[in-house]
Amino acid sequence: MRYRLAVALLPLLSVATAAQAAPHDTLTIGIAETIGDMNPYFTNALVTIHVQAAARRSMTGITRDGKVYCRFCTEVPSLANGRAKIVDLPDGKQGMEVRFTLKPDLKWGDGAPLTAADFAFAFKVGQSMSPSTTISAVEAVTPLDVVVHIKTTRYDYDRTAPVPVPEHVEGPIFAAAANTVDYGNHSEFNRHPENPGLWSGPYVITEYRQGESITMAPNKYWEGAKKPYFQKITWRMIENTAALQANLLAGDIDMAGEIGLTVDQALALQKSAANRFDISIVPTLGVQQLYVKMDHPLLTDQRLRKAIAMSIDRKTIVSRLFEGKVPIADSFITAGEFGHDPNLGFWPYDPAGARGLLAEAGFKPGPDGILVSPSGERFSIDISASSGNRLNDLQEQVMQSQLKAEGIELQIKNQPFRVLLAEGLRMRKYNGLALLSWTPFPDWVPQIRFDSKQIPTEANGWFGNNVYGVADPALDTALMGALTALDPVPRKKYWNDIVRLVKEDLPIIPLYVLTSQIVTPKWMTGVAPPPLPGLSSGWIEEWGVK
Amino acid sequence: MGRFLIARLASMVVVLIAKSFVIFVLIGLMPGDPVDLLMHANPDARPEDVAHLRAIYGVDQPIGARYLGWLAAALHGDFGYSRAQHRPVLEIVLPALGNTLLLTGTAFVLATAIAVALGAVAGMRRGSAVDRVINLFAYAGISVPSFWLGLLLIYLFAVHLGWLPAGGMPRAGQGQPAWAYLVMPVLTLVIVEIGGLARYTRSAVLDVLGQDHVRTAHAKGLAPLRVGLRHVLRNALIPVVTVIALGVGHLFSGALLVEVVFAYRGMGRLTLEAIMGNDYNLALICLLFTTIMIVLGSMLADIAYAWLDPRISLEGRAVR
Repeated sequence: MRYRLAVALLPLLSVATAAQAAPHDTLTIGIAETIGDMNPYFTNALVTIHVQAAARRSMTGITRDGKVYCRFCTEVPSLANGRAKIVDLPDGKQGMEVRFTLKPDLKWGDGAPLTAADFAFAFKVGQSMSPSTTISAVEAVTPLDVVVHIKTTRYDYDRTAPVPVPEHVEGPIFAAAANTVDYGNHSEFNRHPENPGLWSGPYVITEYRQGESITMAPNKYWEGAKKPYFQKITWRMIENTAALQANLLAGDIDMAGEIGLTVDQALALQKSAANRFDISIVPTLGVQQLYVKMDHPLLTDQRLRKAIAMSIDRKTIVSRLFEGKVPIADSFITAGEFGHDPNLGFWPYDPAGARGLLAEAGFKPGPDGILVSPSGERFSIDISASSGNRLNDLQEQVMQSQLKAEGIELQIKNQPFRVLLAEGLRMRKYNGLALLSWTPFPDWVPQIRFDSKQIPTEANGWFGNNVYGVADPALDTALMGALTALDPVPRKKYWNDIVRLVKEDLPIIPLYVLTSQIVTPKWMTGVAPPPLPGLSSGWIEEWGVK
Repeated sequence: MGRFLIARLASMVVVLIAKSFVIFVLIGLMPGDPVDLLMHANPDARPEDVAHLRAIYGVDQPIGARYLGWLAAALHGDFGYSRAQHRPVLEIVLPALGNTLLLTGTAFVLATAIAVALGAVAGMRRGSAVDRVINLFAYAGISVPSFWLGLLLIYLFAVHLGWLPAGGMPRAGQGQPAWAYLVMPVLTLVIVEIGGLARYTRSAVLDVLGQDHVRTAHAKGLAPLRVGLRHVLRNALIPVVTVIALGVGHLFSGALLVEVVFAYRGMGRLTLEAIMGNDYNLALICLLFTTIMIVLGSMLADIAYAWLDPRISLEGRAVR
């Protein structure tokens, strides 16, 4: 009987042995989201950007402190080196022309030359989706020279080159397509992502299993000085983070990047599996924040918005949920950003001050302890977040209890993301507060967030991202100034105005800085936490073994 | 039999057309349309760009017109493209359907065989220690959430013992045999499905045990095993078949959580993604395939009734 049992278990034991003998020139990475569309012009899903960053590179890159560097170009354009110049436009305004020169002998993954025409083609594809509001043309003046024509002066002119799209692969498909969507349906990015001609990074995709996995191998035409170490990288899609963690512990995946474990899971892993993994939890440029609907009847008075901000103890939220290991946010931008002002800070947790503001606005406690306005309205507002997210639920519950202590009722009304996005935000139907995160690029001027022309209304077809409804002429001026000023000194002043006015107007209440959780095996090296979550793979050629 | 099958297939077509309309309208009534998500990806988009895309996707048309357009194309075999993936929907659905059939089909056969056997033994040995153990097992299966059970199995067999892969698709060339990837998802589904069916079989067996023809069979001196199989179980299976047939559809929907926890690419995950991602065509086809499976399950149950009890006529007439 024992013999039979041993024989029956043999295949199982061989399974375990095979798993333990895995060599370290391959890498399996778990990602907690499913990749849908592979055409970069139809999606900006972070998970797609994260995976494609290993295989698709841009003209320039940007460091954490906002410094632009060349990837495909020979020199970063500037006014000083003459590659960027201010020009007079036919309408009498000033614009810019920016010339990028490509390194010689750049190639796509199939060996075809990567030329300036691929950048011009990328612009053409982008225009068909949504014409650029700032760039009028991208011109391939020679096979190695790309000139970007900008309609205004812009501080970020040195990063305006589009990410190239291989014209030799996508050109005929784009030309034959009846419309934008038809192009997406026939694009090689979606039909045959294993086509090496689509990719320009250190890796090319060799196998694509929709909803399951993406496998990559080194791009033999990669021009970078550093050649990728891993001979095979597999990205496995495991949507449930508990299952992802179990896969990590079981050794089925080697690594979980930024689209992986949650903060609390990473903290738990630091205690239980620190001998097997290097676990880094590092701040990003993203901020978890409360969106405030400023024209809500109970929130139009700035004193009431300020009272809410002063009633929320963000330190308690961070200590209860993240063991205090996540930085508290003092603005919608994070420390170290060009526009950040460490001296400005945010409204501190001050329940007594909040009570004073509420009393000043005429609110008095009602029979159930909830404040009542002079017109008899209870101070009851909703908070909405994307449903199904445990951390969102916990944050809402903590804030609900903190606000209730000051006589403000917060009703939690979470919605599926698509509903929150469509009706809650786009049509501004959220009824008070919304709990969301926003991760900007370095030194990104938030004009589309806070400019008064960006308030979605029925009259403008619900167009715009200013879902808070902030309309402050001084803020509009500062935003435009920060966007168009080329001199860093006045730009810094405009940025200071933006941060100060957002603190005063309170269209958002910052909570905490988002972090990237990266879990790598002890034998691995070279993974650097990026400023933008998801972009660690932008330096994948640096990854290797100790 | 032939007339029965033709009639049932014809009614299935009617059900599918009706259901496609209901699903189409329900999805259309949900807030948001495909362009919302697309525009979320492009904050620079202008109102005219949004309008242009709405026209291309056809979401600027009344829902009735959109449905008729979809139906006309579908009747010509064109089920359209997935909005979220820009691939033909059948190209996405068919592999997922195959995966689900492999997973749920295996689990269904195993769960049914084990549950019927356990239920029959428990019924025929009512009140014994065996009956009590089977009942305990059945109640445990009924009450345990599949998601939690799946995670528990992963921690036991993958993390601690290292015998099986923690999840993924059953494919060759992954360093482990393909069957190893199926063991835990199938086991999870089997444990969860066994409980209810075993209890139902036990009740049906107890009902039949008290009937006259069983007493007569015993009085005639037939062996207990022969009585159990031919006179008790066969009659007890008639109501059980209904539960089994309905279970086909339940296995499709019930597999969602198991698919999620084991990162298994099946219909459950695909349907959820399609609905949450506002992927009209894909959601519609996923739900229609699930409907087909439920209707086919029901049809198989009708055929099984006639086989188990010849007095039941498929033609709708009493057999004398």
